[in-house]
Amino acid sequence: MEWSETAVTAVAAFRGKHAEAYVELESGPDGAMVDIGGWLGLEESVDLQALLCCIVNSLEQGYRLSLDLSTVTYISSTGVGALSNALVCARKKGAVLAIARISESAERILKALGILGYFQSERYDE
Amino acid sequence: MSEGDRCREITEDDIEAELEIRTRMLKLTADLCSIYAKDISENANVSATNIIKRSFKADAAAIFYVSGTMQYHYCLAGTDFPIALTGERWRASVNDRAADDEVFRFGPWAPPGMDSSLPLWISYKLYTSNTEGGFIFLGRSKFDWSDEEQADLVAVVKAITPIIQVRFERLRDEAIRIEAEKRLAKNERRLRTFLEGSRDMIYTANAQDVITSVNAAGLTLLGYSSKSELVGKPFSTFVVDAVDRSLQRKKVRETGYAADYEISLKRADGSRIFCLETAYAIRNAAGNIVELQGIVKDITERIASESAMWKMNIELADANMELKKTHAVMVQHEKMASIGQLAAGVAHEINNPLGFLKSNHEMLESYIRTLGALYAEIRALVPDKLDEIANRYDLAYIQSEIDAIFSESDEGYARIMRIVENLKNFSRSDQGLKFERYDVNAGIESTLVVARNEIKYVADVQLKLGPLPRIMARGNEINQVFLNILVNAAQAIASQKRETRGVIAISTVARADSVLITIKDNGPGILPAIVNKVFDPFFTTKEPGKGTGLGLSISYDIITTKHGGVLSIDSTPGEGSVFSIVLPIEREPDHSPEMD
Repeated sequence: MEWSETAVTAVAAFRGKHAEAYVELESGPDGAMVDIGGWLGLEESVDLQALLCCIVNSLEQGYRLSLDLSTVTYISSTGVGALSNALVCARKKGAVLAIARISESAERILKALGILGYFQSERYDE
Repeated sequence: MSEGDRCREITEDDIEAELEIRTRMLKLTADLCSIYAKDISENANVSATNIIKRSFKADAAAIFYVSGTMQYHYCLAGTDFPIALTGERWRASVNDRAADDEVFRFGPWAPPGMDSSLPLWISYKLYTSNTEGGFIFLGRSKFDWSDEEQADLVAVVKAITPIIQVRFERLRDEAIRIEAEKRLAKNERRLRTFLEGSRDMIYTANAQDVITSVNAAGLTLLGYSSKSELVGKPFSTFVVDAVDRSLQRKKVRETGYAADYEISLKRADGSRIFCLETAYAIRNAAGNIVELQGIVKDITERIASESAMWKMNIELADANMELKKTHAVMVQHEKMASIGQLAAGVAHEINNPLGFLKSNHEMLESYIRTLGALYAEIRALVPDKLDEIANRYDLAYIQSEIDAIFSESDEGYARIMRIVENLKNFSRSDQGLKFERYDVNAGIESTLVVARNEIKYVADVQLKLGPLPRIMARGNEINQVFLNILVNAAQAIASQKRETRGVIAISTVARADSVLITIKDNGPGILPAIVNKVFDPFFTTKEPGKGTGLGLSISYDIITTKHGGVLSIDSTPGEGSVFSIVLPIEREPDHSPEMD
């Protein structure tokens, strides 16, 4: 798939603003992948929330978006909120949001806050 | 000094007097040095004033000075304590009564606290501090001050000035130190009150992350009763996962602080709390961390409510999505059912007129044949005349056509009746939700009649229907599935730019306890990436507005959920798709109830 210009611009803006976190848009035969990594503190997470909604809204209905969280070193509760909000955006859009890979620390937090189960997990599907 | 005085001989008495004065001044100097050296209190000025007055044989002596605490004071000989003056009054007393570097003579004057004034005064600067200075005043009621006395005053003051200067600076420094200590103590009390009164845990830890101090809120937060239970222990003791603390310390090492870091801590009772911590590193001159200072806030309740809100939002979105799906599926079901109802309605409406048309047709045929017999009998009676008339009306041709017309009409009626029958079979309007014996092959044939208009312009249908047992099913729903797949196949073929007509091949075969129906088309096929999505609700490859994406989803539900069968697809891009339907012959006893 080809990413929309809006999504590409939003990701570039995020990367320009936050040095300790990064977001990368990837495409594969099975759909779209967003690689999110680094330090997702309060400030990064506030912007991540808007960014993820922008990315999800740029998808076509019924599309599947996978998140690669394997390089997340730290995720704050605001970051978890950003992911759950992205999930809501995806549901409204009729898109599927799945977690392809996740770091141990992020998995621990998402589990502790009871959010992990709401995501489709490709890792478990395999 | 007069000319006569200069010429006067110096007598022994003069020398003795001079010696006495010099001795007195020396003693005065020594005494003053001793007083100021030994007594650092304000009383030293009282003592100094008294002995200066005595040594200079003055009627009054006073010292104006600024104390170490930068307060304005004044000592009058004969009084017991220094008097504090306002800066304004102090300056009013001193100004115009003292010169910078010389003895100043003036009078009359009554210093503060003296009842009567004295006429003869001299003053000299004792020391200088910033813009202010200390001054000594000597007063007499008679015998004006001689030049020698003035010189003695200057000499004495200059002799004791260093010690007074040092003493003043010492007192001032001491006062500043005491004031600083007071402020420090006040600040410490304020800080301690602030720390202890804080609702957040405030702690310090050494470079090894061992807690060195903690406030009362820290005890409450972690559920301990004594600071000794925390102080001396590594902070990681109270962290749920030590990795979290390591990550935070790494951040502090690299950037000097970690703001708003969320960490899970474990309390004394084993429960876990979510905390928000901001920690700073204190470094020594070499840049090494010597202390960590942190503020920890319990955000467990906030996180719990946020988490509940996230879940609620997701579940609401899910419910909303489900509602939309359900609504759309219901609408689609209604549409599909209405095709059956429409077919049933059309069949019913056609059936009635068809009945009397067919009946009338048969009656008409009978009447025509009767008329034919009548004509034959009349012709036998009057052949010539009748043949002439018959030739005029070309009766021979009409008679030859009548049979063909009735034959074609019979065939037409039979076809209409078959269509009506197929429409009735397709809709199975009398079946409702009941599971009944159903003929799969008949269902396919009647569905083909309904779908004929979609298929006939783009594809040929190849039927290979094997002998099948009648299965337990809701025939109307199975027919809807056939219709969906057949119409999809026809539309897929129609979407291609192709030179030849497409082929839709339908076959059925009986298995041990099921029947297999395959519907194969040679359309464009479906990409592997999306082939497993064709049964997802709302998934469609058709242009927007041309497909709801629900037909195959509902078909999947009908075959798998309602009938316990299997619906699968095998597709090759460029070659076409094959839908396989497996339906059990007998219904599973524990399968979904009939009224689901």
